[in-house]
Amino acid sequence: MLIFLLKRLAQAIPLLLLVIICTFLLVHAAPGGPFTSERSVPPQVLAALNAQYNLDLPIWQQIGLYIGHLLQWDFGPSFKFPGRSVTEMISTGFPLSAELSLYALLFAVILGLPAGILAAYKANTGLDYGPMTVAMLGICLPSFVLGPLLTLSFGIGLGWLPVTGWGESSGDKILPAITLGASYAAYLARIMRGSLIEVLGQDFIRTARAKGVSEFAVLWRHALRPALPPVISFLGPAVAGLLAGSFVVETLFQIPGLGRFFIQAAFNRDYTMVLGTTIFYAALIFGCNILADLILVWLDPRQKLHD
Amino acid sequence: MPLLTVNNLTTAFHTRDGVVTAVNNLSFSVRAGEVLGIVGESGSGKSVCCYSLLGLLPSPPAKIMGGTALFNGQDLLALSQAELRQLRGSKIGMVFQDPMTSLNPSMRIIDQVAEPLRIHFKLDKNTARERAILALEEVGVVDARQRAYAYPHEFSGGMRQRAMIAMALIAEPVLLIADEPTTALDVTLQAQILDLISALQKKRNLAVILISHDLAVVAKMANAIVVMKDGELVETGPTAEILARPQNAYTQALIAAMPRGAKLSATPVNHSAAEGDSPLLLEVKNIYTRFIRYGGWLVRRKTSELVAVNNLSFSVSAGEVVGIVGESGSGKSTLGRSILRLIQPDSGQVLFAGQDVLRMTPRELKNLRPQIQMIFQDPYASLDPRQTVFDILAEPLLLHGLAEGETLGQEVQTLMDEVGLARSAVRKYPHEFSGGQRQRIAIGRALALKPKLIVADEPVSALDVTIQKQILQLLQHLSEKYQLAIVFISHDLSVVRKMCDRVIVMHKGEKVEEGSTEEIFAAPKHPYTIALLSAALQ
Repeated sequence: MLIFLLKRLAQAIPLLLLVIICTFLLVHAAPGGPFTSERSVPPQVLAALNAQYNLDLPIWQQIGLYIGHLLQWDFGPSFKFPGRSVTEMISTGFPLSAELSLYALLFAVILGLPAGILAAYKANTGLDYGPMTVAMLGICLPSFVLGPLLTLSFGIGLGWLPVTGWGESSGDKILPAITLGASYAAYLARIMRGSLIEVLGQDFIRTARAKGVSEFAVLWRHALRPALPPVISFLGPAVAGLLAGSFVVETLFQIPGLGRFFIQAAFNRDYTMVLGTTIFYAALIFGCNILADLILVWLDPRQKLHD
Repeated sequence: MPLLTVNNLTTAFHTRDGVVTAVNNLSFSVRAGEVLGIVGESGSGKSVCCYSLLGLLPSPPAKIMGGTALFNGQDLLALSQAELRQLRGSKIGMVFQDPMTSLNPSMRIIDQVAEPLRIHFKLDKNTARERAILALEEVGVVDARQRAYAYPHEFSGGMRQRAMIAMALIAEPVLLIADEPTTALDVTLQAQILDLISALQKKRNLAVILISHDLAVVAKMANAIVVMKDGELVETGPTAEILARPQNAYTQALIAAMPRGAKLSATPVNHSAAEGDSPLLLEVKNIYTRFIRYGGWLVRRKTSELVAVNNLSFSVSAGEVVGIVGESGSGKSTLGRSILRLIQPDSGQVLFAGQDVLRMTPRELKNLRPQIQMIFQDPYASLDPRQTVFDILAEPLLLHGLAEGETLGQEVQTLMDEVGLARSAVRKYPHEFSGGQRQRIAIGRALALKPKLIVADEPVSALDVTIQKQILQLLQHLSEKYQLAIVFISHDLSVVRKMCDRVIVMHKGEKVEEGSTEEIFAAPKHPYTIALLSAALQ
């Protein structure tokens, strides 16, 4: 167990290094730079700026220097917001994004899993078709459509919930969380349904019934655990996706989260900011996947912890 | 008074294609302490009948259309699911065919065995677990106290079935329904499990309904037999009477297909290809195949090694049928695949018509493929579900450029005639055929390229006895007609005896005995062969 964890963490190091180098080369290959603007800057000033941020060095030296700083937990200064460091911006933006993602995830799990279980148990009846139709809609509707729709109906039309902000007025966290979590709830419901239907058709479910196990216990004790692996396999990357993909929702609802910083940084050619957020997200994705793997092994004793 | 009396049970499945009657007007009864055998092929309704009694059939599509089933004075068919649940596992225990799939893979054995006690007697976890350990000890699980905490995949096939029996009997039911309890097991294990059921039955004075397609199993165990075909009862009576004086033609056919000591004194094999007068077709020399598992991080290193085939040699003449016998895990399938180089052996030679198959270039190998073909055990799993019969049969011909256009259609039709398939079925897909017909398709596919050698890996194990017989006859006929050599891999001695000129017995990757079929069956020398024979024929 501990060895497995250490191995996986060790595997993450070369991968992270690769992510750093690729991102570094990509942002530098994009036309323009952090100090390009409409007003022409005197060449001496530009040269001085470049020198200050080491942009005049060969690219390999820049990468080396960057990684050196990274090892000291220093993501570097922001190019676009002088006086603010990337570390500081991530640490202010991430908690907001994380909170939003957590609520979205809770919404997805609490709505999606029971809907999928119900649909599987009542397969090919109204209780299956109803939720599954809604789920299909949820998958098809992108958040930039669903968000405004929810805002219009619950925020402006009915006036029940505030439509912007984060933690400023009561209930302003509900609509963003639902907007972000809806499609995940839909996916979860469909995966849960498919997987559970398959498990319910297996021989050992018949064995359980032959023992006199009640229908609820068949579902809860015998079927659910073998049906969960596909759900967990989806959830691992999904959690990372929620964190990284929150920028649309953050923009819609005016939330100063990390997702918005990320996108703005890319437009601004804010090299250090792009790199910092990318590495941060990459590390998160690794973390979520390792966690999902651990849960998978716990769920299915036939899986062994190796590789 | 009988413990269970079933009267005119009729069960039907309501499908889109109409109503299919699976069990029709079936009546039988079982007394306490009696073993009733229900025999029939798959699809004969024998399992459906028992599942009907316990309300275990999914409804819809299944529906019980009529009849009564009096168990201790209660009509099972009139009970609600909740009332049936009270009986299932407490008064009536069930053992299923495949203990691997019938046990929950993610639950510890001990908890699965203890579950009936938890449900029916509301015992607390620890008490139930204690009782489960005792039950596992009773069915012969060694070191039950430690091993009980394992998961099903950590048990061997025989141990899993023992656990299953412990689970079925832990709440001390009065009736045990065993649905093909030994079909998924090797012969030596089959005998052990049947002995176990028999011993427990006597000890507890249990009534047992034993469902099997294998008349030999039922004949060994049962006091009385019910023979079923197409959902109906064909014949019933005391075992001795049915075996000695079968009235119905179908029962007679079943008995004729049964491997028994008496039948073995006859010589069923026609030695058309006596050794010596045919040229040597295949020579296998010192084949050594092992499986290595790799593990480790960054650097791959060997973690374990299994020698599947250990220095094995044999030869096959043109037109000869050579049987390779052994239990599962003996390496016989690996040997078959090594001959075709589907697996690369670590050392040794496979000389086919003088050329070493193992050292051929990819191009040479491709030219060889038409001459050596393979038939697999499960025709359903080894045929592409999205290809029609025409596609399946035509593909090898096209691949090797042997036919195209009109001649292709003719070739395919000839093949279908050859293996006994209706020409009209050419556009159908594999799932539309029965198991026997599917194996015919697979044989046709193998035959398409007019091979000189076919490696048949358990070609009839997935089929019913009467279908088995037809397929074996087809293979025999083809072997004689085309001077086709067959390497026939099987765990089933009676089948091998019918088919083969020569037999090789394998055990743990090694050849333990080789000889003509008559010699091996009349005078086996190696202790393992003797054990195998006595397990199969008792």
